[in-house]
Amino acid sequence: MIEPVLEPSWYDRAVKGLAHPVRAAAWVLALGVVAGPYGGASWVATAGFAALLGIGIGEGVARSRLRLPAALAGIAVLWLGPLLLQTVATRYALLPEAFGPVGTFWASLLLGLGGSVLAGLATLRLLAHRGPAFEVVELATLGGLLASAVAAHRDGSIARPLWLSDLSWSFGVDPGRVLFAGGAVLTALLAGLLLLGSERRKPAVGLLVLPVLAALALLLATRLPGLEPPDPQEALGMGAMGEEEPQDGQASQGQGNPSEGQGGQSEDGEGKGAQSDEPPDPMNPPSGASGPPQPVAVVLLDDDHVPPSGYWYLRQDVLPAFNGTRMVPSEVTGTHIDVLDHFPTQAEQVDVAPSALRHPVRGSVSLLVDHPTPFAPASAVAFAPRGNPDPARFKRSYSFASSALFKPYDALLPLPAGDPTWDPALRAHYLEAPDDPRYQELADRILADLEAQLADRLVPGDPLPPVLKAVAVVKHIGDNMQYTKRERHAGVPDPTADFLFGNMKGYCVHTAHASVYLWRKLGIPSRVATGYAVEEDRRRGGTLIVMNGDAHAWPELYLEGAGWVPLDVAPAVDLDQSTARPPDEEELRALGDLARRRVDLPGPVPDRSWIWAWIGWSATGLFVMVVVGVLGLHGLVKAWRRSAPMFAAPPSLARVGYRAALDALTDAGITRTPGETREAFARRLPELPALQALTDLHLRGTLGRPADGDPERDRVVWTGQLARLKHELRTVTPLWRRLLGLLDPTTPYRTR
Amino acid sequence: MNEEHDQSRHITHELAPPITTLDGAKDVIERLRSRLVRSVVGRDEVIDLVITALLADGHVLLEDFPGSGKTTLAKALGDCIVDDKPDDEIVTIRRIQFTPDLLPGDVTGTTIFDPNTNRFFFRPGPIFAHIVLADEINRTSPKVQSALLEAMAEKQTTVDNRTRQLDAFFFVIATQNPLDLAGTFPLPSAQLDRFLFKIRMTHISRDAELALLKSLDSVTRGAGDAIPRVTRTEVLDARKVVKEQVHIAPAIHEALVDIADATRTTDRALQGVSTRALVLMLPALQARALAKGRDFVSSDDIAVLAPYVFAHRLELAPGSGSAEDVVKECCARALEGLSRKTLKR
Repeated sequence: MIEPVLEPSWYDRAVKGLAHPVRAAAWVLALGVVAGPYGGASWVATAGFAALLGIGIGEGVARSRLRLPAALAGIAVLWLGPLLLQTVATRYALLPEAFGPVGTFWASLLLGLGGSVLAGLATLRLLAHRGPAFEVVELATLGGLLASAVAAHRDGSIARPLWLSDLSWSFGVDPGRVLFAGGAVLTALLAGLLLLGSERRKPAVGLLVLPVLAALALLLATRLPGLEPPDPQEALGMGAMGEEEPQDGQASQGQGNPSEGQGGQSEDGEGKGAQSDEPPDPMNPPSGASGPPQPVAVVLLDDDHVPPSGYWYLRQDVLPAFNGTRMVPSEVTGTHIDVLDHFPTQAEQVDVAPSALRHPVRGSVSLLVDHPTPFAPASAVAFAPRGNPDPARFKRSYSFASSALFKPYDALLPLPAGDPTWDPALRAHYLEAPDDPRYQELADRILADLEAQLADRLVPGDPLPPVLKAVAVVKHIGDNMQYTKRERHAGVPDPTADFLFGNMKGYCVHTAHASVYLWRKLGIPSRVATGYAVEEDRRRGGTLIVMNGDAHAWPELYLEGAGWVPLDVAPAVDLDQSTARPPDEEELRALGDLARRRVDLPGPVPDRSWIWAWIGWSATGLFVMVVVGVLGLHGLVKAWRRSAPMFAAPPSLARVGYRAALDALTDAGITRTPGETREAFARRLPELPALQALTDLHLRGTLGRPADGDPERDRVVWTGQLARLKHELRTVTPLWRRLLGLLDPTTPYRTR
Repeated sequence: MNEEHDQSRHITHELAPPITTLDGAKDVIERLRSRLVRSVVGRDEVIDLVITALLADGHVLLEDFPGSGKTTLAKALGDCIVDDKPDDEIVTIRRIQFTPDLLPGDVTGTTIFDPNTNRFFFRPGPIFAHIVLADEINRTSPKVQSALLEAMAEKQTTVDNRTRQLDAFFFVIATQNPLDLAGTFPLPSAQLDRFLFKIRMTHISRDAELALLKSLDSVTRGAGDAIPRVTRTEVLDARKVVKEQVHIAPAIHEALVDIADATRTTDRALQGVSTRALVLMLPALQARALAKGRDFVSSDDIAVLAPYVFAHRLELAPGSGSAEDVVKECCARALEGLSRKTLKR
C-alpha cells in the first residue's frame, strides 16, 4: 500500500523550521560545554562559530544535487586542507613570521579545531539529511558530547563538573537535581529533534507528549531518594561523619587502663565528667599519630587579620580557677564573660573591654561534628546564629565577631598585669596557685636569670614588664621540655609538678598549667584557655580548616589595656612523629567553599525542604491533572462521537453516523489502510455486512445527490445499522480487545 | 472477416420502450454482463471494463498475448447487440486484422467503379460497424492507424474527400501484443489518448481455465441465448441516461483534478494526464457507478478506473517503473483526501 503524503500544513512547516535553530543551539551548547574547560572563551567561540558554519554547509550540500561520495570527499578536503596548512605553518614557523604570536594562535585554532568541528558537523548533517537513519548518529553524537561533560558525576561524585556544582550550590540547589533536570531537558531536546527530523506529518499530540515527559521528569527529580549527596568524610576518605572521634578510646587503650577514661588528666581532675559525650574536647590530648586527621570545623574569616603569634587561638572555654589540684572553670562572676557556654540562637554580645591593640575580626564557623560549645578567635565579642550552608554536611553554623590582638608582642611591654577595676578578691582569684614551694622557687630562678640577662639594659629599680616575665617562663618551659602525648603523668597527685620537676615530658595541658602556675607565682593574673590552635600557615585566604589534631590548651595572661593575651609554650623537642597522611588540600578547600555558601537567616533557619515537597506535590498534581485531564477529554470526545448519531441533524447523519461506526471499528482494532477506499475497506471485512451497509449509506449521503427522505438521512436506519455493526463486532473480536479499545484514548486520532 | 448476423429476432425489440431511467440503463448493463460472462470465462473484470467503456462511449485497447480470448470477447459482445436499424449499411461487428501492408482504404472502404451502371459507388470498409475489433493495431503503418483513429475520435471517416458519418454506437476494441514488437509501429501517446481504457489482460485463473476447458464439450455459444440481447437504441439511451442521471459530487471533481495535478508534478512522470483525459473519465466513472448499482460516483470508481484511464496517457520518466504504479501513487493522496473529506463537515 502506498503511503499517502499529505500536504504539509502551516503547523508542519513552522515546526519543521524550528528544528534548525534548535539543532544549531544544541550543538553550540554541547561544543561549548566540552571545549570550555580545555581552552576557555577562544575555544568556545571557535567551536561555536565552526559548528554553525558546519551545519550550514552540511545542510546546503545535502540539498544540492551533489552525490553523496562527492559531497563527502569535498568535506574531507575542507578538513584536511586546513589541517595540512596548520601543520606546515607551525612546523616551518611560517605563521609566527607572518602574523605574530597572537595571530598565529588564532589562525592555528581556526585551522585545526575550527576545521575539524566544521568538517565533522557538516558530515553528520549531510548524512542525516540524505539518510534519515543517520539522524540518530547525529543525535547520539550530540547527546554523547553533552553527557561526557558530566560523565565524572557518575557514582555520585557530586563535585564534578566543578563549574556546574559551584553554580548550582550558589543558587542553593543540589547539583544532583540540576544534573537530573539537565538530563531530562537533554532527553526532551533530543526527542524533540528526532520528532522534528521525522519525515512524517508532525502530529500535535506528539509535541504534547514532551511537556508531559517534562512533568514526569520533574516528578522523579523531586521524588528520587538516591540523590542525597554523599558524606563528605566518606568522599574525603576520612570515615563516616558523626562517628565519635576515637581519641578517648584510643587514648585509653594506649594507656592500657580504660578505667581512667579521660586519660592522664582525669587523675589530676582536669577532665570534666561530661566530656566523654563531647568527643572533640580540647582538654583531652589528641590521639596523635594513631588517629587519622579529621576536619572539625570550617572557619571563614571576613576580615583580614594576621595573628602576631603565628597561631589562630580559637578559644572555646577558659579555666581561671585553681581548685587545689588543677585549673577548673570558675564560679566567680565575670570570669567567663568572653566565652559562651551555649550556641547562640540570637545575636549575643560578649563583654570584652575594647582595646587600641585589637581590631575586629569577623567571620563564621561551620561545625562538621557535634560540639558542646562555640569557639571563636580570641577574644570573641559577639556570637550570632548563621544559616547552615548545607545541613547534610555541617552540624551547625554560627557567626562571630572577635576583637583580635594585632600588634606585635613588643607593644605589650609597657602594659601592667591585671586590671585596676578588679576588686582584690578577683585579682587574688586569678593568682591562686599550688602551694608546692618548688613553683615559687622555679619562678624566682627564672626571674633571676632574666634579670641577669637584661642587667645591662635595665634601669635599676624599675620593675620588669609582666610580659617579659611571662615570656621568660614559657621560654624556660619550652626550651627544657620534650613534647609528647604519650607521657601523661597520670596517677600522681600533681601531674603538673610531675611534669615540670620530673622528666619535662608532656603536652599542651601540662605546659599550660605549668605556665599559669609559674605566672601566678610571679604575680601575673592568668588562666588556662582551651580550644583549638591553628597555624596561620594553614589559612587559605579567608578559610581556616580546624582539624581534630588542633585541639589545644594554652596559658593566657591579663594585661591592662590588652585583655587576655594567649602566650604559648613552644616545645623545643617534639617526640611525636606525625605519620598521619595530611588531608588533601583540594578537598579541604572544597569543604571551605561549601561552608562559604550564605544562607540568610531572618530568625530561625527556615526549613526549605517544603519547597521540594511542594514542587514535588505540584508536579505530581500537575502530572495527574494533565493525564486525567487529557484522558478525560479524550473520553468525552470519544463518548460524544459515539453518541452523536442520536442527536445529529439528518443531513449530517451520513458523516456523524459513519464516524461512530469507524470509531467502533478502531476500538476493535480494525482500521482502514491509508489510501484504501471506503468501499475497499468494507469489502475487506465481509464478516461485517453492517459495515458495508453503513459505508453505502455514508457514501450515498456524502457523495450522492442530496435528497430528503432517503435512508441515509433516516436516524432509525443509521442507529439500526450501528447496532447491527456492534453486534457483529461482538462476534468477530474478543471481549478483551473491545474493552481495551474502550479505554484507548487515541481512537479519534487513529480513526480514518 | 465479416460475420453476418442472424437478424430474425430484431422485430420484437423494435417495439421496446425507450430507456429513460437508471433502472433501465442498469438492466441493459446486467443483460450485457450476463451474456458476456457466460460466453467468456474468467474475464469478469475485463468484461466489466468493456461494458463500462461501451456505456461511456469510449474505446478500449486490450494488451495481451495471442489466444487469451480477445476475439472471443469482441465476438460475444457483438453477439449481444441487436442492430435495430438493419436498413443502413452498418453491420453489428467487424474484425480488422492489421498487417504492415494494409492500406487505409482496406479499413475505411473505397470508391469502386461499377461497369454495369458506369458509376462510382462507395463500398464501406469494415469500419462501418457498431463494434470493430482492430486486431494487432500496432502491426500496421501509421497511415492506416491514423485512418482508424480519425474514425475513433470523430465517429466519421473521410474517403475521397467525402466525409461519411459512422453510427453513434461506434465502439472499437483494439488489441496489441505487448512483447512481440519486431516490425511494429507503436502507437504514439497522442493516438493512445483516443482510447478510453488500456487494459492489460493477464492469464485467467487456474479454476477459470479448468472451467473453460471443461465447457468446450458443452454448448458454449448458446449458453447465454436465454438472456435477452440488447438493441443498439437501448445502448444509446443507456449512455444518455448514465451521463445525465448519475450524480458526481464536487468532491469527486476535486479529487480528479488533484490526481491530474499529482501526475503533472510527480518526478516519475515527464508529462501528466491531459484535461481531456479527465473529461473522458467522467462518463466512465458514471458508467461504473451504475454498474455497481449506485446513482452517484464514489471514490472506489476512481480507484478502480484511474489506472486504466490514466496509465497509457502518462509519459514516464526513465526508470520510473510501471505506469500503473505511478497512477496509483498519484491517486492515493487524492483519494485519502477524499475519504477524509467525507468525514468532515
